[in-house]
Amino acid sequence: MACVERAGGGAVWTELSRWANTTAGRRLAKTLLAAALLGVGLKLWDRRRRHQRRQRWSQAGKDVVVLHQFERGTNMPNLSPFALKLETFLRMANIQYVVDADEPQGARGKCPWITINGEELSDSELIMDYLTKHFNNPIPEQLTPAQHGVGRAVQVMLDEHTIFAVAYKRYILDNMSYIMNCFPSRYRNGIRILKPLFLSPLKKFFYVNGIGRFNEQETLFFLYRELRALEDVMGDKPFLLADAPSTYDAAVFAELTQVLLGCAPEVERYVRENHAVLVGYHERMKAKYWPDWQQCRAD
Amino acid sequence: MHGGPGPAYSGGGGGGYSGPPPTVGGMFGGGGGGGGPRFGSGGLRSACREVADSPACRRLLQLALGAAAVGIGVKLYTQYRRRQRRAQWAQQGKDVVVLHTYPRGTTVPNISPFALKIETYCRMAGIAYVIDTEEPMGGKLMSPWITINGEEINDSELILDYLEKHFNKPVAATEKLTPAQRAVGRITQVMLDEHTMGLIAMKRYVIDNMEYMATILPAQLKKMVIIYKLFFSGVIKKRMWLKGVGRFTEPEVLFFLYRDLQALADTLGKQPYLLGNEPTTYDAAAFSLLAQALCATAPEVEVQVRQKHDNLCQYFDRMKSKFWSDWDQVLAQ
Repeated sequence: MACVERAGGGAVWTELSRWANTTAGRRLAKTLLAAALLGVGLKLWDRRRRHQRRQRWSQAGKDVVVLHQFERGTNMPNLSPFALKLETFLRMANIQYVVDADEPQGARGKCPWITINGEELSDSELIMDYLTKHFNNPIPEQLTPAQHGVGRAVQVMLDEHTIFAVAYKRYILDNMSYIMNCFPSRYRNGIRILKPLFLSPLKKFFYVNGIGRFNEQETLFFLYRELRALEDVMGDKPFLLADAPSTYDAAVFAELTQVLLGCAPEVERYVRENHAVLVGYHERMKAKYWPDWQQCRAD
Repeated sequence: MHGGPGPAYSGGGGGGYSGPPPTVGGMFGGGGGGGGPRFGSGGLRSACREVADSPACRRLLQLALGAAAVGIGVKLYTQYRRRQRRAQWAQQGKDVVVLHTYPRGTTVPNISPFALKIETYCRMAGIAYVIDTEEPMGGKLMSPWITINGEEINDSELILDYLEKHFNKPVAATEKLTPAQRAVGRITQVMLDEHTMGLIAMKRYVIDNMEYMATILPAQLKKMVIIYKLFFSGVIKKRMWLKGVGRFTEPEVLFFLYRDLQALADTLGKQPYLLGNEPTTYDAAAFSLLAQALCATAPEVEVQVRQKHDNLCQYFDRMKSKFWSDWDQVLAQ
C-alpha cells in the first residue's frame, strides 16, 4: 500500500513540478509574482495616502474635531445613526468640527471616529464621553438622577436594539429596495453589483446579533413596541426629558431619522399616522440643529 | 529539457499504467515542448485515478459509508427521543408551562437571565410551570423556550407577551401603570436584555475566559468549560466582535456595564420596586439581570454593585425573598 500511495502522490507531484517548468507554468508563475508585487505596491501606496491624510487632519486646529464618517445620504445627512448622533451632538455642544469621508472606518472597523489634537478615538459613546469631559460639559443639563437613568436607558435601547430592527428591515427583509435610493447615486451601481457578495456576511451579522432570527412580523412587533415606549416617555415635553435638550436627544434624533427616512415607506407611514409626538419632535430637533439639512445631502 | 515522448506513454490522454511502478521518476518520460500542458494534466488524471483504485481508497470509501450509516442511525434515534419528550410534555396539564432551559446553577437558579426572567414572571403571575433540561435549545437556536398546551414558543420576550395575553394580564400591578411608567419599564428591559447582558457575557466568557464561571457551574456543566475552552472560545470571540461588544477592551466593557447598572439604579431610586410600590412584569427582567451581575459574573462586578448601589442590593434581596423564598433549596450543589 505504501508504495502505491507514494507512487500515486509522488506521481502527482512530479507531474505538477514538470508542468511548472513548462512555458505555461512559467507564465503563471510570472503572473503570480506580478500580482504579489502589485499587492505590495498598493499597500505601500495606501499607507502613504493614510499618512498624507493624517498630516492634513493634524492641521485642522486645536480642539477642532475631524469627524470621519460615511458620505452623506440623499435624504438625510448620514445613513449611520451613530455618525448622525455624533454630528448632532457636536452641533448641540457648539464644538467646531470638519467632516472627512475619505476614511470613514477607524480602528476596530467602527464608523464614526474622530481625530482631535492628533488623537484618534472610536465608538460614538466613548467619543461623546471624552468630548463632554474635554470641553467641560458643553451641553448644559439640569437633570435629576432618575432622568439620567431614563435618558441612558433610552439611548442604549435605541442604539443597541431598535436600530438593529431598522437595519434588518432595510437591508435584509426589504432586500435594500428602499435604502438603495438613499445612497449617493454614483455608488448605487457599484453597490448593486457587489450586493451578492456581502449579503451572506450581512445575514450572518444579523443572526449573531439576534434580530436576524425573527421574521418580518416579529421584527416590526419589537420596533413598534419600542417606538411606543419612546413616545410615552417623552409625553408632552418638547425634548426627551425636559424643556431643554440634553445629550440623550442626539441619540433619539439620529435614530428617529433612520426610522422615518431610512427604513421603509410602510414604517414611515406607520410612524406618521400613530406617533405625531415623535414626528413633531423630529421636526423640532431638525429645525434647531440642522437648519442646513437640505445642503447636507448628497445627490 | 525533457526529451521527446517516452516509451511509457501512448499519446497525451490518460494512458494506462501497467501496474504499480517501482520508482517515481522513471514512469514519466518526455512530455516537454509544445505538447506540455495536455500531456501533463493527462498524467495527473491517471495518477489520481490510480490512487482512487487502490485498496487504501476503497477502505476510505467503506469508512465513509459506515459513518453515513451511523449518522442516519443517530438522527433517527434523536428524532424518536424528541417525539417521546414532546409526548411527555403534552401530558403536563392544561396551561402548565414547560420551561426548557439549562440546569440550575450553584449561585443563581439560572445563569441565563432570560430563563430566570420567565421563571420569576411565572412565580409573580401564579402560573404553574415545570423545568425541562433535556432540550434547552429551541427553534431559532434560542434558549430558553417553552411548551404550553402543545404549542412551542421561542424568545423570552415573545414568550412573556404570549403569557400575558393567554393568562389575561395576570400581574395586576402591571395594569395599574401609567403609559409613562410602562414606557420606562420597557426601555429598561430592552437595555438590560440587549446590551447589559452582552457586556456580562463578554466579561464571563472572553475577558475572564470562564475562570469564575468554572468555579460556580454545577458539576454536570463543569465539563462544558473544557469543551468551551478547546472548541468554542474562538467562535465566541468572533461572535462578540460581530455583535460589537467584542471590539472593546476590558476597561471599556466595564465602563459600559457599570454605566448601564448606574442607569438601573437611578431609575429604581428609592422606590421598593422598579416602577413603584408594587412589583410589575418589568421587575422580572430587572431582577434577573441583577442576579447575574451580583452572583454570576465576576467578584469585582459584585463588589462594584455592593459598594456603589445599596438600593440595587436591597431591591435584589426584596425580590428574592418575595418570589424566591426557596432560593437556597433550588440551587445546585
